[in-house]
Amino acid sequence: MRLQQFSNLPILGAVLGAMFFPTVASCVEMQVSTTILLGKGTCSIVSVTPATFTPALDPISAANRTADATITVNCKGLGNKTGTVALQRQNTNPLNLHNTLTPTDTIGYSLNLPGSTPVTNNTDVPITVTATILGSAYQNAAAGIYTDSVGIEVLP
Amino acid sequence: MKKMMKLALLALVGVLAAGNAMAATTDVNVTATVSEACIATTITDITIGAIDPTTDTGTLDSASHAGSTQGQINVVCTAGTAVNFTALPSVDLTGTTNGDTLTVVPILPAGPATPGIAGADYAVNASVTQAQYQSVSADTYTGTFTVTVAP
Repeated sequence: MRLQQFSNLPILGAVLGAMFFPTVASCVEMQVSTTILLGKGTCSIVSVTPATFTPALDPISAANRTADATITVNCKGLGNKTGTVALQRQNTNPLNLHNTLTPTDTIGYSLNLPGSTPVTNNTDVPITVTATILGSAYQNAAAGIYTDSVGIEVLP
Repeated sequence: MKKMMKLALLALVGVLAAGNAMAATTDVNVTATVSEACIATTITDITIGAIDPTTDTGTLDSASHAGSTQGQINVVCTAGTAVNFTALPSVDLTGTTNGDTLTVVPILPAGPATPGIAGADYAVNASVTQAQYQSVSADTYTGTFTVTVAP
């Protein structure tokens, strides 16, 4: 019993020392480092406007026509540096607009995706995607509305 | 030491998370409308052959009367587009010398027609009644009328 009380003294002393006496801090510098990658997930799509051929296609004149879609992206993690993004299709299937009433009626078209677009950190950057229909592709098309939906991937 | 290890681990997790994130994707809609367009062109004007009011009888037309030339138009339309032909029910021709009026009736192709993008030619004629050509003086009569081709 007496021995136990004695053995507790150093602990008590330490507590008192902490409470009533200045302590000498022990400092050590700890280096912390990390790398923020400009990974695929750092760019997000803010908005998308569709490509609409306006005015309507006139098969008699059958001129080549273009329509622009805009994909606005925002990339984070660039700091004060400039990065680039590229767009690519999610697949390589042939591009065809389908008649909304008779989907087997199609009009072939192409899509021009910019290879590389500069972006800055946390800034909305509109990227234009141009759809082109050649006159020969719709010259024999029946009247109607034709639509398609294309999967686009934004790549850092 | 434990704290330092935790910090390093967290940083590593952050790096892995960024590297494995999914790419941003979207669907872009593309829409086009093909119009029901048509264009008509006159190939041949109508001529009703010379009429002799003393010997000709009945209604005469450019399709069958001697010396006549049928009118002809070419029509091109969007594939599959059916069209109808319309014009005023009567047209007044004017005597080039005396200014008399001779009324004729357009004879239009039966519709609907589907000329397609390759186009097709259609005959257009005009007729004149006996009462009309017997009521005017001898002269050459001319006039024009418009044929409307529309879906």
